[in-house]
Amino acid sequence: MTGSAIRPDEVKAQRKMAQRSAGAALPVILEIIGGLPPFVNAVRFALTPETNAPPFFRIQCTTMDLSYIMIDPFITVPEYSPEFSDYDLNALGISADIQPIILSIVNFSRGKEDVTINLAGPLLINPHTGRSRQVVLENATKYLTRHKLIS
Amino acid sequence: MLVLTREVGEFMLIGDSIEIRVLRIDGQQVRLGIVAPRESSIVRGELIEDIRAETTSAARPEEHLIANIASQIKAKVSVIVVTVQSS
Repeated sequence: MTGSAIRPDEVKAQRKMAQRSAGAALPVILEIIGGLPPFVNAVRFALTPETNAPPFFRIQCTTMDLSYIMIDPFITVPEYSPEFSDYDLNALGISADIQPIILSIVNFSRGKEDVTINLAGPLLINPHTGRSRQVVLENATKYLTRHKLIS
Repeated sequence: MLVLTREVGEFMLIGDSIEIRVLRIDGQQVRLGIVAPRESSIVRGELIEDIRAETTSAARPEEHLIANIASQIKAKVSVIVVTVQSS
């Protein structure tokens, strides 16, 4: 399974900056530490491309009826520059040589005129293990929890 | 929840290495100093609550909206790609 993000021009060397690289392999099963609020026990999710609705992905919990639509944020926000804390990177085993995968949760709950993505709280994924967590960015104040997907 | 009352200048220790000290009180505002290991996560509660609320409402999305929004994004992304290539 490969991602389809547009490759950013500049790849930041600094450890805390992480950007999506085109062609990175996606893990099929995610282990989301702490679950997703309010479902703290929903940890195991299957990640699949939404075949009838690209570029969306879907994460489907394997233990309960729960799913979310996700998107690679760099597709619609190419200048997105998330900074991750050492706390989060260490918790997921993302060492300096590992390029993490970043996905944003898409929120359709306010209707089709107000579909948004959470840029301040993305899902950070270790691509080798599927170990993931919804994190708060170090530079969260730079971004919206409700960034309009279609301007 | 452990509830403590502290005066200005007093502090409390959480675990071995996290200290929270009351530095100043100004009307409704309390200025706190936090000493914690560099790798600790310290986040304002409002931001956590905002993210929790957003994530909660995003669960189990309306299926009929997904394909429609996806096609709108695809149209927009194609435009971005063309711009980059022609510059």
